[in-house]
Amino acid sequence: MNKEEEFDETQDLADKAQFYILNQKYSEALKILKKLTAEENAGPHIFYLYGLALEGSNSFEEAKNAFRRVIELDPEHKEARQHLDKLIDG
Amino acid sequence: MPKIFAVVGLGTFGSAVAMELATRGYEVFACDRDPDKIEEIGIMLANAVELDATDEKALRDAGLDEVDTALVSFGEPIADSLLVTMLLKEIGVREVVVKVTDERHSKLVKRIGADRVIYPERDMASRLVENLLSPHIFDMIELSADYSVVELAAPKKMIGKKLIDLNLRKRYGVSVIAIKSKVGVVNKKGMPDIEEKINIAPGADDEIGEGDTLVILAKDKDIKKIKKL
Repeated sequence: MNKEEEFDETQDLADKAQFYILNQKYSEALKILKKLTAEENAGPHIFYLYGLALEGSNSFEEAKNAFRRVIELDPEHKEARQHLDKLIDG
Repeated sequence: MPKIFAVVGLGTFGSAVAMELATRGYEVFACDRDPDKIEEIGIMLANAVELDATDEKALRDAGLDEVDTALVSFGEPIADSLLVTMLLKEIGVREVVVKVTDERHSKLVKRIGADRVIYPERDMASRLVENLLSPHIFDMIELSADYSVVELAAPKKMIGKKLIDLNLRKRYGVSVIAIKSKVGVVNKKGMPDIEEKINIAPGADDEIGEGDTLVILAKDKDIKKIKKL
């Protein structure tokens, strides 16, 4: 598989995970996102989706770590910051 | 007419209460003898008054005899807390709520007319301990010696099932008074997000979804049973 095909496949999986999140199927989303976040070049959007799915399934400590990772990769990521602040405030 | 409030003592707790009431659109008199605290809160509140609340004339001059509910929000010195509570009742404040530090303080303010006493630190400590010991219990409000309202993460076994099928009242003696769901949405920027939606008094056909929080009313002994699921 060349790089372009790999990118397309990651994009398809991210879209699928997003679809599951939007339909409150967090455990299905997590199955996909666990694999995607393990990839070396996983970007902030993948970790953001991972954070949402973890928060959605009440795994708050792991969700905080995912949102922290988003902010490391993209310090301007407003949504991740908001979620992290909300989770820390309890 | 909307209620008028006063907060006497602008420490962390008193300031937070005053700000929250103002945010909700109520008129609040925020009082303290420390000019720095008045200056600080005065940026956000119109009625921030520097006064010595142990002086009856100062309370009347500031208009505190017009308020419906006053919070006395300083624990120390206890003598001042007692005196301010008594003066507020004397000038005609209908309801005086007092933040207390211990049982002795509580007993004394009740005797001189406090309508309600609160122990924010003790109550918060109790809630925190409950949450630390049972991470799936998000909040707990004691209604009486036997009954509480509890927010808990829906156990995995319940996900995808309807309330009628779970039959929680019969099996565990608990009533579900609300379901909080985390619903996927797309925000204004087109980004995926999750929002909390609350379903008050859910119907028998309502289904428990992933990540839902159940708000239940139950006897404490029955809460223990459901926590084990």
